Amino acid sequence: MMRIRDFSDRELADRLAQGLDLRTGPFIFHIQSRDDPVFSGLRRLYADFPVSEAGVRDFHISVCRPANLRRWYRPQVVFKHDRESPFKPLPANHAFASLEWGMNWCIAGYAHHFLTLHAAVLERNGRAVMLPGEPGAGKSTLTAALSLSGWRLLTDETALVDLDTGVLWPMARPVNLKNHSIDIIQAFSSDAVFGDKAFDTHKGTVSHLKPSLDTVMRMDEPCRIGWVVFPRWQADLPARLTRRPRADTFVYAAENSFNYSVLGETGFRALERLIREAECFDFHYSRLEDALLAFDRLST
Amino acid sequence: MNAAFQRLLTALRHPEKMASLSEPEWDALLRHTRNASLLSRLALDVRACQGWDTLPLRVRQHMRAATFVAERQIRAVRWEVHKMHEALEHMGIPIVLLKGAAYVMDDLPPSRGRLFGDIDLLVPRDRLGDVEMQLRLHGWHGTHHDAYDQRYYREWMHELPPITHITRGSTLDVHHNIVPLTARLKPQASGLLADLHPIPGYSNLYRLGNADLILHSATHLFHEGEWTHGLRDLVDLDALLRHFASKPGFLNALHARADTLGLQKPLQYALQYTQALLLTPLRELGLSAPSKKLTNPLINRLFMHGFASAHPDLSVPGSRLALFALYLRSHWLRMPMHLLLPHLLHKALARSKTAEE
Amino acid sequence: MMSTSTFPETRSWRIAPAGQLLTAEFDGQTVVYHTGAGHTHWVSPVAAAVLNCLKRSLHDEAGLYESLSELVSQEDLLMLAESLRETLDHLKNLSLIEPA
Repeated sequence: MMRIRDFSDRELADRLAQGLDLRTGPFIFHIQSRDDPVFSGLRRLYADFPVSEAGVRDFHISVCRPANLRRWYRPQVVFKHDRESPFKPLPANHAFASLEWGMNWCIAGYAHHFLTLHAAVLERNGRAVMLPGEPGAGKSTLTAALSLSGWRLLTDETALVDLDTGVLWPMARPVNLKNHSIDIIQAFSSDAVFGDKAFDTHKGTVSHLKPSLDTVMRMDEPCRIGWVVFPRWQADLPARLTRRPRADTFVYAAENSFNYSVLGETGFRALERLIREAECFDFHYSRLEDALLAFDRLST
Repeated sequence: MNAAFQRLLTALRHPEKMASLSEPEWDALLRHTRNASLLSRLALDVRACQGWDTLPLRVRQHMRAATFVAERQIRAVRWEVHKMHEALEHMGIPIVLLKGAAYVMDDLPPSRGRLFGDIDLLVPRDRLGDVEMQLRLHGWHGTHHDAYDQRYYREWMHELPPITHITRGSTLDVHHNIVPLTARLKPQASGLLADLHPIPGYSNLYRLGNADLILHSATHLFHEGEWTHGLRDLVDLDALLRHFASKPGFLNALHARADTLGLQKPLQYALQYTQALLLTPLRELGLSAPSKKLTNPLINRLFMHGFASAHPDLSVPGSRLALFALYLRSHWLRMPMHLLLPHLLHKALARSKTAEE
Repeated sequence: MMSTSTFPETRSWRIAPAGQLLTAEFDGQTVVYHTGAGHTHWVSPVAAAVLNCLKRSLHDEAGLYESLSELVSQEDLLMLAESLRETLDHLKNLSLIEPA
């Protein structure tokens, strides 16, 4: 099986220009682009990912310059899914971020053979912790730190719950970090490998963290849920884990699911099974080291 | 017709033959059927002919996903109709559900695996103001505020501008005539309402009679300006024809009604194209197949471009011009010349203004 | 013992049609989801009990009170009478039930 790192720069660029079939866990993306940031991002951050042989792909996407003035003047890129552009054009140097957001959009919009939740998922000792994405709560920083501290990353953004068995499926894709988080994680670990920064995006400065080799090599290994933890970073808070009622967690998860309402009764039962199996907590912290310790204790 | 379009039609005609498709062929077919809003329908057809296990894994996954979407949309239509009925019930006026909503509420075959947009209903013209007010009280608000658009809808298209629910986002199209009065065909609107079927479980809620459902759907399709859903609408017609053909009196009624209402041409087109593209077995169903090509070759080419516009991969050269011609034609059918030209001009100006922004 | 004259204007209620009411209980708390109305909530024990009754068949308020009072203690009966009307209105606002 070929991986991105097995291709020379020339080969990779050619493949990408025609359409490269990249597999991330259960999804095969057919990606077409001639843009440098996309090439660099794939080359550096997706080096270990498998390249699929042509067959059925889940999504046909492209990131390309538009066929108008903005091809050259203050250049832009447009993300397309199967020849349609769901988003406005973005500055050309946001091309890789645009690819990542586009991939998330495809999954959220179409992958209804899973229950998809807006949450990060990491695994340790055979059980997964799910971190629902409350905005501004520091979830991404914590996710990145955990992924660099012995936790296997399944996803930073989109949890995939199997409708029939309730297991969580990995994608192992790069963690999206912004602004100050990038500096924190860079300082946190010398192992952290980042893609190029994109400045002045709608989220501020954005960059992506390369997933570990172990994470990528195990992208076909699902696992069962252990805990749902709502993290909240707040300055000067001692680390504290408190139980959160399951009923409340269920309602929150339903409201922050991408496709719960599409799935009707199937989604309801899948979420019920997940929440029943999980221990649910609120977690407050101010120091990353305290958080890592607390999570370690949870997983043993 | 190109190979991709041919494969799409084959899938619709012979879902039992899908086992022979290669993975690259499936890769394309999935995208094409999804764009045509027919993936969920194809999924149901494959299940019905026991072909499910022969499909590649990813195809099963995407079909399963599409099926969930279709089921969800049926739930949404049922809920919206329930809420709309709640808002208007006390008025005691007859409300006629049109198209998709009618198929769902009376459990007709076209509702299987179908995707729905707005909910179309028809109310008596003299109560339109009250209807609008009641709906607004229950959360539906108009979104087209431009005075021109208001006039276009109210005076020329004979419907309220589409109204959207403020929290649920659903949209109602409230008509008071089936086809706009300025239409060149001038069908007798009251004629279409002579044979209403009540919707079970709801007072004063109806759908068009069997023959009229088909005539209305056919008229709508073959007068259409936007053809992306053309193939789906043809699939609806095929389903309706198969379902009703065996009902007593239907066949006579279909042609008699077409004559009475002056809708022979759309019916002719419907029979011709369901047979040609979907292999609807007209003779077996007792319907007289068009004995000779009554459609002139130019219009035939336009319609074929229209049906193929379900996905960019399905089109052949010349489609952009053909689709534009169909767009003009649909307006010409609905509006007399002295209204048509200013209308098109207005739309063109509005479009270029948005492009500049 | 409260008499049914506590509920002089007795309305009948049913689960909102055009959808399915799904419930799940976690640690004594009940989560409900109506597939038509489309929202998920967690509800009080009284509300959960009301919905359970209505799932079986439609009830008028006096009947609901009777059914529910078998589940609660004497002291709670008073609270029940006061909260029943409120609970019904709340569930109606959530589009989970409607007057039959």
